[in-house]
Formats: sequence, structure tokens, C-alpha cells
Amino acid sequence: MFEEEDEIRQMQEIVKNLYVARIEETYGDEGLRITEELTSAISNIYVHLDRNIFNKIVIIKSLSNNSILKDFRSITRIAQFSILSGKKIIIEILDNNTFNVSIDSCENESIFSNDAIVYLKNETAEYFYIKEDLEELTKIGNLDTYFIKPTFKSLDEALDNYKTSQARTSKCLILRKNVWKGGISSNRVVFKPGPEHIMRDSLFQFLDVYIRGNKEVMREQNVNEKNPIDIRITWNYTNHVALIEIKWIGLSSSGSGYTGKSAITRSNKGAKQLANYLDLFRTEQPEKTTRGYLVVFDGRRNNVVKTDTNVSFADGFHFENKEIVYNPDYSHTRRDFEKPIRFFMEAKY
Amino acid sequence: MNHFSTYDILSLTTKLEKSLGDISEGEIQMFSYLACILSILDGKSANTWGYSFIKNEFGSPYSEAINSSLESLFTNNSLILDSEYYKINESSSLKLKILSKLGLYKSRETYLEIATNCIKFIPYSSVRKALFCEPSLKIAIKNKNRRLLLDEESASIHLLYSQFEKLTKALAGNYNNKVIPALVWMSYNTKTQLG
Repeated sequence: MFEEEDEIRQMQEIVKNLYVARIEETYGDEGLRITEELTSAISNIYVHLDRNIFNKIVIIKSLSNNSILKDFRSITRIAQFSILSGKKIIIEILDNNTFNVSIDSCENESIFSNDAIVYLKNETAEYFYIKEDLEELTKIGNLDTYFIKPTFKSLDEALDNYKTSQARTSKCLILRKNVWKGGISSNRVVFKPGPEHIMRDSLFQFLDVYIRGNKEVMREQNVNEKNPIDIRITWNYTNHVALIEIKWIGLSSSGSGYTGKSAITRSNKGAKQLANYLDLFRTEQPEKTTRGYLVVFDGRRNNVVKTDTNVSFADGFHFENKEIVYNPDYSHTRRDFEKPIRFFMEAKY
Repeated sequence: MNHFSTYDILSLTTKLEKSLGDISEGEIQMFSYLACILSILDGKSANTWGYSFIKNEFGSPYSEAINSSLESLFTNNSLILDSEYYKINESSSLKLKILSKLGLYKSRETYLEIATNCIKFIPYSSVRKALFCEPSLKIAIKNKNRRLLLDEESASIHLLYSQFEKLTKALAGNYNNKVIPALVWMSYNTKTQLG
């Protein structure tokens, strides 16, 4: 009996903090219907808009047929959001798939909340206005937004996109904040000590939310009793499994690191390790069709020491096109080993 | 061909096309299972859904009725297949519009709608995770064999009915939109506040 009461209390606590419930209580059924249109539009906008550029993103949808923004420019094609920049953006969703947009205006978004459903995203969290109050959305892991559209149908496509859109300029906040010595404002010259788990978390989160279909992405999964693989992806309607092993090369601020020959040795060791994992996994789960992916985060710079905070353009890009030579090349000798992927990570200039 | 599963495929494909662009068989299986559970959470008996689900060898909810209806819809060109993802064609959309007005499909349409609306309010990956935490599937996953899910004879279905009773008490009839109990239930199962 007490257990049942406790469970009911837990459910009541959840509903108390649920933004969708707050919206229905305040704006009624129609308010929730409009929120549904608003959140769908946010997901579509976020496919194009660079969320990291703006300190504040406000997206609103009027509760009536009247538009609300007074000083705006019109956007008729959603792809146009990709070229916008500024500190603060206010976007009004209109009914005909067009948008009114105001950039860096002084208007306080709270004034819209009597006539519209108002969504706000700043650098730390996401909110909905419930009249004058801000209802914060509970963070899910390291996700910066609830409104992500899963885009990629294959792991290869997702890894390729991560390489250019996230790793290259450390766009992913997890990388930008935590992987470089000096953090978010650094010039991305040397890594913090032991950056591998941060790289794993960044890639894990990206794959978890962006790959379509039915799959389970898990971190630090044991291949057998002793050996953990960095990321394992299991598909729910096929017998496919992907094992991802992550390595980093470059210099860390502790002075340890892998540049020159040691970077090649380190990458080859990673390949050997993955090949062993694939063998172990095949022994443990022979019914699965398994593919192995070696991912190398490459932060190598030329002529730098652990205390450096700047690097010349030439030295920063010295390793940009220097691919690692694998010997043996398991991607040629084994059918379950994909071509190793190198994510070159640029310095900031 | 089971007419309920055929209807559900057409309805889910239409709804998910709007948010995702197209839909895979796995996604149809997952969202039809979620819709069935939401009907149970709304007080319906699992037996009234019109077709059954098993836990397949990969630990996922799977309906043979969905699978065979999907094959038929593809064979008769009602659905267009592109690299394992389906889209609905124009004549099937019109057919769906007519079918959705029939009393036979009206109530299940509500649950198909809520199931797909959940991904408008919380991330798709969270909806998926929450579904795999529901008691019936969670218990079945521990068993290696294929197993009937939401079986009226099994103890696990009573865990769902009991969740439904508690949910009803917790919400006390305060909310009209059925997506709210669905989201509370998902948060409760994952022990994570979603939203």
C-alpha cells in the first residue's frame, strides 16, 4: 500500500515538472496544439540554424492568427537559417511555413507570453514561458536541446558528419569545453590529460541522438568479462552490431602524448586492440554480424610543447592531410574491420 | 492480411513522414507497439488491439501481422521503398483519409497519434529508451526465447494495468491531452524526468 502511494507520488512529481502539462494547465488544449506545431518547427529550424552562434534563441508561435513580432524580416525558405548570425535571435513561426525573424533586438521575450507559446534557449538550458514564469526543461545527459531530428540512416553517414561538423572545429560543446587545455576559450593547441573518455562521450551522444532507426548505443561495454569497448551499437531488428574503439593522438598538457612515430604506433595498437575485440566478440556472440570501427581523434600540432597556448597556422595544420599508415591494414585483411577513421581537430585562429 | 495492422502502417507512415521524412520497418514495429501500450494505459484491454506482439530474437517488440501487412502494402505499391525506408503514395493517403473516419479505426487513431506526437515533445532517442524500459518488454528481454508480449495470461501485463491505475490516480483527471500521461509514464519507467 505504502509502495503504491509512493509510486503515485513519484508520478505526481513528474507531472509537476513536465512542461507539456504546465502548458495545458495555462493555455489549454489549443495551447498544447500550438506547442506541438512550435516544437516540430524548432526541430526543423535546428537542422539549419547554428545553435552555438547565438547566446539566446527565442522561438514563438502566436495563440491567435495575428503575428506578434513588430520589427522583423521574413524568411521563406528554412535553409536560410543556416546563414544567420548574431547574439540573440527571435523567430516567429507563421502558418504558411514562413518565419518572421528579428536579430539582436532589445525586446524582452517575456512580453510575448500572454499571446504566444514562447520557447527560449540560452547557453545553459531550454525553457518555455508559462505566462511570466520560466519553466526549465530537465536536461537529458549532455544534450543541448530536446528538439533534435535524428538525421542519419547509417553509422558511416553519421561518423562522416561528426568528423566534419563536430570534431573538426570542436563544435560539440562536450569537446569544446572539456577536451582542450584552457577550455572553451582556448586556441585548441594541446589536450587536457586523459581526453579519451570525453571524446567517447561526445561521439556517443551524437550517435545516440542522430542515427535513425532502432538501435541501442552504449558506452564502455564489455566485449567479454575483462575487455570494454568504447562504444557498442546494437540494432534491434537485425543481428548487426558495431564496435567502436577510440584513440587520441596529439599532445596533452601533462606532457604525455602521441606525436611523430608514437602517433602511428598508438593508432596501430588501437587497430590491433579492435581486431582482438572483434575476435573475442565473435567467440562470445557468433550469431551477430559485427563490424569494427577504429576512430582516431587527431589533435597533432607541429613544434608545440605542453605549455603552448598558440600555434602558427602552418604548424597547426601540419598534420591535416597526414594519414596514418596501418601495418597490418586490417581493413584489407579482415571483412569485419572498417577503414580506420581519423578526425583531424583544428586549432583556433 | 490483418486490416488493423494495415491501417496502423498507413497511419504511422503518414504521421512519421511529416517529422522524419520516411519510416523503416523497425520504426513501424516500435511505434505500433507503443500505440498498443498507450491504449492499455488508457484502460483498454490488450486483447482488443487486433494483433499481437512478440519479443523477437534481438530483444525488440515485433508483430508478424505488421510484417506481412507491410509486405502486402509494398507489393501492391501502396508504399514506396527507398533503401529500407518507406513512404506512402498518394492513393494510399486518400484511402487512409477515408478509413480514418470509420468508427472501427477511430479509437486506435488516437493512440497512433499520441505515440508519434511523443517525439515532438521529447527526443526520439528518449522515447525509444522509455519503450524498452516498460515492464512487459523488460521482463521478456531477460528470457532468451521469443516470447509473446502483452499477453493477458502473463503476470507482466498486470504490471502495466497496475501502472495504468496509479497513473490515473496521479493525474486525477486533470489533463485532457493523452500525450501527458504518455510522457509521465515514459519518465516514470526510465526514472528520468523527460520534459
